[in-house]
Amino acid sequence: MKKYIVLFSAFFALASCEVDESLNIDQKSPTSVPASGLFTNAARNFFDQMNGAHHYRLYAQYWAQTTYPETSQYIMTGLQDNIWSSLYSGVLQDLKGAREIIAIEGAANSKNQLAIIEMLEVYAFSVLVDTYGNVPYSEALDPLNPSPKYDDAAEIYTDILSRLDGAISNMGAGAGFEASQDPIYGGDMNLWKKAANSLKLRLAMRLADINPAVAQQKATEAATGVITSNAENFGINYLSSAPNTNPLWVTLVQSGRNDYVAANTMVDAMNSLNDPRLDYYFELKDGAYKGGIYGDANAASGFSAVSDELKNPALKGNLITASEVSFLLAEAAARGFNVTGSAETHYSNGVTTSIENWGGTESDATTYLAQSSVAYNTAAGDWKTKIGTQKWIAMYNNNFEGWTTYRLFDYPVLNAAPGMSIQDIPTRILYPISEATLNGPALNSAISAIGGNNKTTKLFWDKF
Amino acid sequence: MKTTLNGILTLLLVFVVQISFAQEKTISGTVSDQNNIPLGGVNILVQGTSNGTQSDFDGNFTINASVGQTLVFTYIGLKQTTVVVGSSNVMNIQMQEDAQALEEVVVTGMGVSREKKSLGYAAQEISGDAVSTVKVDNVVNSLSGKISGVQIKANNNFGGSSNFIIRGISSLTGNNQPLFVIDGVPIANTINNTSAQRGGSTGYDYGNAASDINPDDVSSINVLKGAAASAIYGSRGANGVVIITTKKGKSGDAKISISSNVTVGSIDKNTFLEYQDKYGAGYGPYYGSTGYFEDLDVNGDGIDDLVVPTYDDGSYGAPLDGSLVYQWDAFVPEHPNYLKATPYVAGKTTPVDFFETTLQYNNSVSVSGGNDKSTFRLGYTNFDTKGMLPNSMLNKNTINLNGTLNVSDRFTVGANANTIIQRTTGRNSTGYSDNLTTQMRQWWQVNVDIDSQREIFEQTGQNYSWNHLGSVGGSALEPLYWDNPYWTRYKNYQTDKRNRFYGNIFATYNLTSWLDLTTKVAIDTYKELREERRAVGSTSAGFGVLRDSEGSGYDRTDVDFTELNYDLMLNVNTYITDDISLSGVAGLNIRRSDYGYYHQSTAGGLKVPGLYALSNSVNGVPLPQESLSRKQVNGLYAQASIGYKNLLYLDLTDRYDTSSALPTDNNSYNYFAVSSSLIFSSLIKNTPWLNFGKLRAGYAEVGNDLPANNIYDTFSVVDNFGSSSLFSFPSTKQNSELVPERTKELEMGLEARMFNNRVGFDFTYYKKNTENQLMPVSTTTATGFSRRWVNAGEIENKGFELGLNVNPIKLKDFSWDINVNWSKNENMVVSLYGDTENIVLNSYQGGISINATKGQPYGTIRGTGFVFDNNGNKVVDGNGYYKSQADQILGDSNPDWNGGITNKFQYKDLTLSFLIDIQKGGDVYSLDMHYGQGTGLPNYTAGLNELGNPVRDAVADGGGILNVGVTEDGAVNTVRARADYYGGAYYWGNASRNPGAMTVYDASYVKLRELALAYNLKTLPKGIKAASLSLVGRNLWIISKDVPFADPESGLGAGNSQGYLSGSYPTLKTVGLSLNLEF
Repeated sequence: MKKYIVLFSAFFALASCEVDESLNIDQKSPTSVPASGLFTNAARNFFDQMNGAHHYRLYAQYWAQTTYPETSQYIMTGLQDNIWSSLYSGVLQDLKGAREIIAIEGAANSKNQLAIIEMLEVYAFSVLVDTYGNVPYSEALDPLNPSPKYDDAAEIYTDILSRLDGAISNMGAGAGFEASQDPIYGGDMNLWKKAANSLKLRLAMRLADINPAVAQQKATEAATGVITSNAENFGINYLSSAPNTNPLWVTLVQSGRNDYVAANTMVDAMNSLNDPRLDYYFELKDGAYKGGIYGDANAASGFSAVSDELKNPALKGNLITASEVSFLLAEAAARGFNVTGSAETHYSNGVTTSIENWGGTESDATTYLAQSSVAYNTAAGDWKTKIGTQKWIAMYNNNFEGWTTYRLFDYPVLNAAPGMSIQDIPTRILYPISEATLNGPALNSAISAIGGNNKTTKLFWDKF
Repeated sequence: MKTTLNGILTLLLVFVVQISFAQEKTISGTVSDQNNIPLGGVNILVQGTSNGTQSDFDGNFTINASVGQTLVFTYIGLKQTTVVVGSSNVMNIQMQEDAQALEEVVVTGMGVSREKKSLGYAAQEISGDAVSTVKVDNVVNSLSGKISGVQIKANNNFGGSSNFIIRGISSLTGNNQPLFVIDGVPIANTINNTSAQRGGSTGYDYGNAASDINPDDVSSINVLKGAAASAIYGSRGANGVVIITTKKGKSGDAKISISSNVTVGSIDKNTFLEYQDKYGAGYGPYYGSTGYFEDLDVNGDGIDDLVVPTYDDGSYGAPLDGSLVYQWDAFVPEHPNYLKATPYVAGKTTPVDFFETTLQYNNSVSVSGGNDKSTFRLGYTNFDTKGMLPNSMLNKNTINLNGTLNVSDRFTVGANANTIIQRTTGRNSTGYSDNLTTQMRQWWQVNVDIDSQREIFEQTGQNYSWNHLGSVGGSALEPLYWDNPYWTRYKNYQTDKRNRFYGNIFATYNLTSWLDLTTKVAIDTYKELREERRAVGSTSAGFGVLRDSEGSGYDRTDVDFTELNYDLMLNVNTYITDDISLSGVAGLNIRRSDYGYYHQSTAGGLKVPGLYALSNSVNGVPLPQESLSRKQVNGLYAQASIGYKNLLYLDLTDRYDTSSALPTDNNSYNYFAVSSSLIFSSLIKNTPWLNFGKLRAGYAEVGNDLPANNIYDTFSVVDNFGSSSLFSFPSTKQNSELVPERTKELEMGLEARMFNNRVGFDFTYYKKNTENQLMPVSTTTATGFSRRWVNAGEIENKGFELGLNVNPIKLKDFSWDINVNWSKNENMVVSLYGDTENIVLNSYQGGISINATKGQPYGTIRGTGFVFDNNGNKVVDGNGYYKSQADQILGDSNPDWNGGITNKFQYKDLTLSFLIDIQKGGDVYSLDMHYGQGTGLPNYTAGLNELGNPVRDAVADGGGILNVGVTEDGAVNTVRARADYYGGAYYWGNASRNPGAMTVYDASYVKLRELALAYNLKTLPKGIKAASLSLVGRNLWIISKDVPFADPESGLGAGNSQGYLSGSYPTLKTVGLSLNLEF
């Protein structure tokens, strides 16, 4: 009997010792990865997010909807959370991780790599601010702080502009990320620097109404190093097959759905100007370009469809183009900022590079610009009207800037959706619904700081 | 694995050879109780042998014994009676009641058989008959309404999962399903449906692994509801334990049992949509020149024809007045109506006619027997069923082998082996998109005759859908949103197969008369292959690893699971003094489990149509999704039960676990249970009406760990972007500071039997708090992550359980038994993480979420709600529509109470029993109604309004719907809302009107769940020991419900997020015939 008890106790003693802790190490996921993989993923997510945000194509009234017009009636359900989480956790977190790993890796080109990451972080935060207003910034991206405060939008702008200056000055000779990991510029630091300067110009011009001194200083600094040709456009080279295509192809082709047609606002404007880009933007319907009523349900069979150009899976996803830069410079000149070249020259360049980027010729552009309704000196309205209208047409496939053009200039003249007024056109996106439950107190102080969580609350730079 | 199986087979062959048969004289007689009422089911045993039998319903018995041997008669609640065999061959026995020694024995934790009276906690046992008489594909479903304190939700998915919750949801985000233990072996009951499926998007319900349990092999099921009972099972017992004891061979004659069952079923039409038949395709009056039809020259005569908008999937179109129009079939060259206009009328057949008669066969044979050295049982069951959808089949073969061998007086070895091979074809897709019933319930044209879809599919084999683009100049082979439903069933079907083995071998050595040592090795392992197909020519839907919208593809998932349990335990059973008994167990358990999940698919479509292979991918095959979860838990436990004079019992349990899934510094945790029972009827004399009375109380604290791989951070590998390799942070931040969570539970109970055991009840109160929960809480993604593992939150469950047995009539030939189970659970989320007020458990289509909100029951339904004025009236806007406001609590998915009443009537050899299953309260949101009424499908969307006018007439003409409510200034609403287009009174809502609350319903039901009429044949041909024939029915009648056109139970599947209906499948009414024979 005793011997069994001894045996049993011995067995117990043996078995009660430690479990095999290595079992809890995930065998199928890496615990360390190269920084470049995180950078490329963040960049891709960012371009996907910006190119795929189709609601801005509606808000800018480029497109109208078919059977289900809720989004064009400014129902934002789902959008609010989606933009927020894809920028913070899909883009910024991976950039932050890449930055930390680069610091450890200590490669020779790490200064350039860090500058590129800084530039993308600045870009992503500027989009967050331009979308919502005040957002978490100084306390963001800390998983141990579940309730980050929302920083003042203007202060974020000041900080990111200074970070961008640092990034630009750190962009030097030599390589950035290796070409295979840089689907934007293939590792060319010169182009990254031009993109960073162009972004700086854009952010500077956002401040033109509320802080003209800073706007002028930053715009002038940036203007000498910006993107000047379509070959230099800041865009990602999408591939022809899923899952690496332009998000437009996913929505328009892969889905097999017919949810969008041309909007009357855009088509009417372009028809009246005999715009050669109509052929690139939309399909003919019964021999003409015909837009569906913006904000209403439209039969897909009755109106111009979105063009085949936009249905190309490998369509380059441009976020900063030579055309946009030209319009920014035109605006700077029109405001009397000290930049080289006249408003008219930059305006014409903006139109021309846009037409050329879609496949039109220089003579198409010349013909178009020769019309009194288009030419800078003869077109109707003040500089805001002219630049606003033409920039809006040019930003057709840069949807966020298209909508922002309207927010900044209050031009072009958009249509009120049925049953609504022009004042109902959103000037910002509502905060995510989930923030109310996940970070309520911080959200509430942000809401009172910006003047209400409304679609039509104006952002800090949106003075007029 | 193979070696193990071979070893067990060899062992069992040894047992088979060992069988021998006894030879003595035959004694027959009758057993009756003190009132001379014949007693059936009395156990009769020849003392000192394993030779035994049972009396039949009339108390008759026959047994072989030799003169001088002693017969022992035992029966629950009666005194054991012994009679020495004399010269007479006839023996009539009268047994006396004995409330003092009511030795009801149940199998409790760790397989220990205990007298039920000694238990200080609630344990409810039901017999195997309760689950094998009326057979269903998932044994869990058979328990519905039969056990108090549990809530079972059987959805209608073919081969689908069942939600099984004991005493309420206690874990905020973790598993809440109980542990299944079969003959001491824990059985994995993983519900491994994808998160997309659980979240209501495309997917299949692959069932829960407990459905592998074969009802024919079940001898009894004991449900341990509380922590006091289940603490010994460790963390996994925290949600309760379902202990299943399988049938074993008994010493005595070898016995062959055959059971054959055939069941037919058809859908309960009350659980499917009733269509309107007055208006055809479209969303409203905005098509072409007529408002309802496209203008297209179909027949080529140069004049535009009226064409039904085939591309739109709603029924707010033109009146079905029989006028001649071009419909979907006019575009199909193979169709007789090609280029012909046909009368515009409602479809002669509706989707109700799509559902087929189901057929289910269940045939099983078992052989069992034994002698004083060994026992064995061998069983084989074939289960074969054809579901309500075309091309759906499930086949399951189960082999069960059980045996024990007494190697010596002191040494017993045994084994149990079960092999299950299940093959399924054509599970139904669930959730919102790409699900046939969402097509039928939400997005349909009532002018389509569904049978004509079958005809064209059978004729051509092509995807000619009613929803094609022909009416706008496209091809009739270009479906827009919906495929031909027959194409979906026959071309886009899934298959899966699961090969499973579970079993154990054990050896017990009697160290002394009061101490046994048992070692046991148990294994549960399965491999599962799931294949999903999408044929070339289908509409696009989320598919494959990437969940991209794909028109064709092949997707396979391999699941590979193994769990090993090594047990060593000492069993004590002794008397310390004459009055004080001690029984107990001390042991060691090492559990090791590996769960592998490998998911791969094609991308960009299939190169060669009809070939379902990964190599047939148009684009490069995306990176597979692989996960491997490995875990080891070592447990040391001891349980002691001390009894005093059959009067007072005290149970003490302690367990110490070490888990590999916890951080190294905090990976061990101790917990305990204390319970006690007092048989107060032993103290009270002079109360002859009270046969038995017991008070019990128990308290337990149980720790729990978390799933593997949640401590250390890792990265996700993302599909390459061209030549770029991509990595990402996962959405969940891990945490290496976690500590075990803890459940504290108090329970008290009162049991009594009275009036000659004719009335009995068992009442329990419990309160259970689960604290410091281990969960991945949602965080603002501004932290860089959407979730983080933390210890946080507390849920409280408290409630009552009542079991009641009444035997109102007990005559010689007739008896009536009533069995009632009733339970009420109140659930409350006490706290969440930090200041968090709400955790979204799942967000669904329709702007609906299921939530855990602080201060509310777990599982509140949130979405847009009505706006009410100060008097509680619903506010209506200027157009007569209900106004809405965002983020309101619309309902609570928890029922107020559940109950079941079984009535059993026995007349001679005929038994009639039926079970009424009741759920009171609980809410459910229906996406089917949200969209279905929005597209104008249900009958009432084409009904008459309060003026007697068609609601679809223009408001100016007296049509529309008058919503009951007040205007914003408080006046009674008099504006009728438009109901002539989809954006009207039944519109699926936006932020300002037509709230989601419009389609929230009370989930109460009263169901005639089971009905069985059984006949035990009295006069039997020679050689047949027993025979019975039963007619059984299940779900024959939903006596009462509030959810329109659907079964309130028909959710997406099992899991924590309940209370949401989308693409519900109708409920099956089944009738079956069973024949049971024993040789």
